[in-house]
Amino acid sequence: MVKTLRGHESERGAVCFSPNGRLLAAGGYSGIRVWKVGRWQVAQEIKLLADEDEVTGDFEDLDFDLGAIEALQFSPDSRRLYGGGDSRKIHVWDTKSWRKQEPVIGHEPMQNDPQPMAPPEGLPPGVEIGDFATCEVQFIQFPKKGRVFASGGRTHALRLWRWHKKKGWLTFKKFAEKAAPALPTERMDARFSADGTLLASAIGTGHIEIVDVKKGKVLHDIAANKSTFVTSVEFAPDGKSLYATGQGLKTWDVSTGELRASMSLPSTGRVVRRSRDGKHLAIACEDRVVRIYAVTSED
Amino acid sequence: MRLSPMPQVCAVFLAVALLNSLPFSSTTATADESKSEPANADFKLVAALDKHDEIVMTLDFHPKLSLLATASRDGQVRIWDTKK
Repeated sequence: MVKTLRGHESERGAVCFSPNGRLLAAGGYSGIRVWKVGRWQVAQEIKLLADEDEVTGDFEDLDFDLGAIEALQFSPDSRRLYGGGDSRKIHVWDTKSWRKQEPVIGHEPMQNDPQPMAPPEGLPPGVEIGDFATCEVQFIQFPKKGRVFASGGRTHALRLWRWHKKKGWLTFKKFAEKAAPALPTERMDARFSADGTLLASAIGTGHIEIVDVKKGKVLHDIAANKSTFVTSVEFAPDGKSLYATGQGLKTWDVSTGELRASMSLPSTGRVVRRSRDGKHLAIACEDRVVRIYAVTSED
Repeated sequence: MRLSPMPQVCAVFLAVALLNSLPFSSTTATADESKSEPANADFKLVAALDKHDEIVMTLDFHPKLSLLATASRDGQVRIWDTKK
């Protein structure tokens, strides 16, 4: 291990490197912290709430509009940091001046949006029905290039945004949620293929959608298995295979939508990401362990 | 069941001949098998990073260097060298 950094507590959390490799950002309940890669000095602090031991009565630098951060992503040119979460908004910062960019991107439900899904029956104690009616931003994803991005929350499994010269970011496609996540704490995730033409999304019910980004059309709708669930997806570098975790680790064939391989995990997987060369997968599991797997077969 | 050497040789010969006559290679046969009972030979565990005190919520690989960042619920962000 290289370093341990102090970030923000979070139930879902967000961490990301900038595409140019110079910055690392992490977000949580009380804000966002950005470090310089290498020396690991704090480059910027964006505060929603002061840390308990830091409350001094000076609230000038606090951003009450921020909300708890669940999603963070740098723009492909690394010049902007996009963050979203409880506030139902996507905030954008300039990564040099750290000035917040206007306007803040709204992520509220619109008139013709689908109604929030009814919560599933038999909720465990402590889980409120109201938790299912919210529309937070749970992920923000950019392709390597191109002026689009994807975001998602609980009442919209997936939104695609396109840059408009005069109007800024506009939603050009919304994909209604197929079924409510089994639990509000469960994660939703989406990833672009390396060439940016495909987008795969997962919600915690075993449902995977593979979308043609240009056409905004669903190519495959994989209902993985009703008895299992999927929390996170990742494309292989060639875009031909899609890895999915949740219960186990599965490989799906992107062109046919068929299951190609499956392996059980010692514990439920929360998130899967691949190394840049695609030779390794890192999976964060519910048992606190991050497991690194070598991808041994490549078609 | 016991087979005399001759039919055994014949059986192998026949199998090879059959395989060669099929339009698809033998890898297709294993792929078909994996549909009903998927193979788990695609992945090999190479490391288990167990230094976090709480559940790791999310992680990200560095775009160029061999670094992995992991963030746990308690706010810890750990940086790992994936070459070691």
